[in-house]
Formats: sequence, C-alpha cells, structure tokens
Amino acid sequence: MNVLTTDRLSKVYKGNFAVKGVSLHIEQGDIYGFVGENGAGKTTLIRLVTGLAAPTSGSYSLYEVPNSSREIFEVRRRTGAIVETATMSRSMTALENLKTQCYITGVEKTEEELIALIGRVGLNYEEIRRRKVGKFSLGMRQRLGIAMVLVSDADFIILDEPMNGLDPQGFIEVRETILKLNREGVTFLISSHILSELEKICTKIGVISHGELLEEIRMEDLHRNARRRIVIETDSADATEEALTADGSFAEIVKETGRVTVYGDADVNRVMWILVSKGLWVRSVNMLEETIEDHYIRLLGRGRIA
Amino acid sequence: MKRLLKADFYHLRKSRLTLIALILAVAFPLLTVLLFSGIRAIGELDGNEAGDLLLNANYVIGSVFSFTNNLGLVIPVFAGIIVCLDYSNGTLRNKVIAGNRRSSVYLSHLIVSMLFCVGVIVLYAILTVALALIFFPFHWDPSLNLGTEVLYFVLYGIMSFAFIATVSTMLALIFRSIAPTIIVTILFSMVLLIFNSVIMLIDYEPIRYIVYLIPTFGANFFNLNDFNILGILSQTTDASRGVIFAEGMLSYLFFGTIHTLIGLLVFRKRDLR
Repeated sequence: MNVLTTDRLSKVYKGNFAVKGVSLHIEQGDIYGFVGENGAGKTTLIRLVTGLAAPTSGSYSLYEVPNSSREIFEVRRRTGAIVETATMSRSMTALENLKTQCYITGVEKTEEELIALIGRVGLNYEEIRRRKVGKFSLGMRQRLGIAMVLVSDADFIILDEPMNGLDPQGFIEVRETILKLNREGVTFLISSHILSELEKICTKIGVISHGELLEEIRMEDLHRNARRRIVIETDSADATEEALTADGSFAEIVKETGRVTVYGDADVNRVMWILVSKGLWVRSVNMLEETIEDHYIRLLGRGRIA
Repeated sequence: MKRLLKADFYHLRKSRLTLIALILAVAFPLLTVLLFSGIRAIGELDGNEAGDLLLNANYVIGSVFSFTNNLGLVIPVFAGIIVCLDYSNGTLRNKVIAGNRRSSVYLSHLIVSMLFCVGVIVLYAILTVALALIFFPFHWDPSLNLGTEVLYFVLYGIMSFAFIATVSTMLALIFRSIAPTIIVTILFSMVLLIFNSVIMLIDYEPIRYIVYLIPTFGANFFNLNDFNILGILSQTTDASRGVIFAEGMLSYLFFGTIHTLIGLLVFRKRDLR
C-alpha cells in the first residue's frame, strides 16, 4: 500500500518553482530518505503534503486518499510531522506540551505514559519537569518534538532534518527510535543533509535538486548498482596508470594526485599482480563501494568520486 | 473542534497573559476607586451635590464595558497576542498537520478569544460596579425599569467584547505577528471611538439607520443614557429603546460575522510557515 504518492506536484513562489513536477512514492514500511541541497525544495514538498501549503499544480494522496477529498483530514490524523523545527509552546513544560499535543490529536494518554515517552526520546524527566521549553537546548527541543510526534501513535511520520542540533549520542538515540518504530510498522519520510545517517536507516531515497526529483531508488538497488572501485597508492601514479591501461582489462581508470582509481568490478588480485610485476612499490590498496553521498554527488554532477 | 477547544483552553489556562489579565481585572477597579476618591478628596466633593453629580458611581459604571477605556483596550490586545503566540510557537501548525480543518482552528481560536475577552471584562465589571456602589453615590431615574436597563447594559457589554474578539482574532490570524496585531487592534478601537464621538455630536435622528450600523454606538448610547450623569438621550421612550437595543445587537452580530468571514477566508487560503 502506498502511504504517500505525489503526482507532478508543483509549488510556485513569486514566479519561481520551489517544487516542480515531483512524483514520489512511499510504500508502507519504508524509511524514505529525502536528499537535496539547501533550497532544493525538500521542506516545501513536506509543507505541501502536511497541508501547511497548497500546491500550485499536481496532486498527492495520503493512504491513497487524494488531497482533493474531504477524507484527507481523517487520514492526516495518522500522520505526524516535524517541519523545519520542532514546534511547541516555549512557556510550557515538556509534559504540558505533550498534553496539548494529546488534545490536538485527540489521543488519550495518562501522565505516566507521557513521562515514559519523554524518557523514550532520551530526556530525563526529573531534570526537566519544572523547566519551561524556552530554556531547553536545541537538541532537547528536537527530542521533545519527536516525542510530540510519537504521542499520536501515527503510522506515517515525516521528519524534516531530525538530526539538527543533536549531539552524537542524540543521533544514535533518534536513529534507534526510528528503526524501532519502523520495525513496529511506522513508515517514515526523513529529509536530511547528513547523508551518512540516512544511509544507515533508509530503505529508499529520493534525490531532489532545484525543485525537481532527480531519482528515486531503493537502497538495495543502490547497493546493487553501486559502482565499486579500487583505490591504489604506489610510488608512481603515472607508472601505475600506464601499467593498468596497458593491460586493457579495466573499464575506467582515473589518475588523481598520488593515487589511481579503478572503477567497476575489477579483480584486485589481478591489479596487484600487474603492479608487482611492473616493479611498482604498492603503499595501499582499498576496495570501496559507492556510498549514498557519492551517489548523490555523482547524480548532481558536482564532482568526481574520491 | 472539541479537541481544539480543549487544547486552546489548556493553553489559555497555562498562559502568563491570562494571569496578567486577571491581575489587571482586579487592579484596575481598585485603581479607579482610588483615583476617584483622590479627586473627590482634593476637590472637596464629598457631600457636595455638584460633586455627586459629576463624579459618582454612574460615571464609573457607565464606562466599564467601553473598549477604549482602561482594561477594555488591553483585553482584545491580549487575546490577539495569545492567538499570535499559537502561530509563532508553531503549535498552530501542529493542529493543521494533525488533520484539523483550518476553519475549525480559526473558530476554536475565536471562541476562546471571545470567552477570554468576555470573562475578563465581566470580572472587571463586577468588581468595578461593586466598589463604585460601595464608595460613591448612585443616581437612578425612577421612570426607567432598573432590571431591564441592567440587562440591556450587561448584554451590550458582553456583545461588544465578543465583537472585539472577532476583530482581534481576525487581525491576529491575518497578520500572524504580535506587533501589527497590537497596533491595528488599538487603532481599530480608537477609530470606533472617534466615529462614536463625532456621531454623538450630530443630531442622530436624520442619520439614525446609518449610525446603528456602527458598532459601539448603541453601547455608548446605553452607557451614557442609563449610567452617566449626562443623560443626553434620556428623552427616548422604552419602545424605541428596545428597538435601538435590538439594532445595536444586530450591528455587532453583523460586523462580527463579517470579520469572522474575512478572517476565515484569508486564513484558509494562506500558506502557513
């Protein structure tokens, strides 16, 4: 079942396309990573599908209910979202904010359940019980924001840059929470610029640039199609390139400062044998696979894979 | 809608502005009595017939429901700030994301603002009236039915603050920023005051149906007529007073509805940040 699909969704601000003809598909159980540079249109798209902004053209469906339907309000209740920053009343405590969120979403939770939720996102209730949210650090607010999303027992959660302001421990805790909830059946749409974090949790990614969706790919396909490479450091990069090119069995050889990279499914033993037989001094040989970050950079054509 | 009202009332209950408004609702009557007592003492007006006619309980009571006077000017501003804070905190966004219709979000705010404005002004009015009656002389025209007049007066007061709540809610959800909401709410009250003041100087009969379209005119009319020593319009008959009351109430209802529709239309169309 598709949790979210967009069909040529566009949003124009002052004559400029913030989102242009985006068609994405998120299935139940996915952790969908939304990748793009600042201003690429990630947040605008999230604002469109959460009902905060109206599309200029195109449409979207939540749980296969089109946005033009009156039922969209009902299915939206199954959705939780943090858009840009976690939003809460700064003059209230964490518990009071969670209670407000309970009222807003129509969920009934006991105080004990809410306190447990505070603990679940890594906040120490005893430390913060009297503290107003206005005095929280950014990371603490971010965690509380996640707790507020979790209040509604939503089965589709949208997180816009959830790792912002988190320390490494916070990263891990949020990541673990996302994975745990996903195992329980919660679908996620996560936009983040920390690609290495997305790589660890996502099942599918969508790459957006200048408002256009460049690619939508499952992580297993990304790994399957990932360009493997062997990075070799010898005493002479020129001689190494010459020897490997002369062999003629390697598809793509790129010489960079102090090293040579062989792309494709090259046999590392053959590479080593060629270099040793040519009398070259091999300092290091590394077999690497394309990461989400490499893929992203290559897709955007911003640079070569290092 | 019910859950939004619960959330908005909870927010109102926890807001410092509510506490400040309640403190002001208690402090202003005390300050008014102190001020009037001071003036009466300085002018040696106690026991003086002229003084009783100028600075009496009628004068104090007559202005309790004016929204250009004391707390009347502060309450709608506070109501507007409370709505604005919902937007600037982003909690308003949470409501939309959670599948609440924007019209429900707007109307919930409107209801809470109305109850806030009416609740605070009624508390202020009760205290002011009680203190005024204790400390100052009160005059009453025996030809008028006290019960009916008090009912008119209170209903007008409540209606005028419900009306001004429609204005502050509309401004807050259109501007979504505290500063312009405060400024325009105060300006709105001031402009109405100026209109009323000008109209009160004109012989109202030839333009009667026009002036009743202007909110607060009716309220000022009743305030001045019943509780102010000036008694400018006391020549009106009971029958015409009933008509004036009904027309004035309809005027509030009409303009309150217009403000709500404008606010709803703008709020539903706008993108939320």
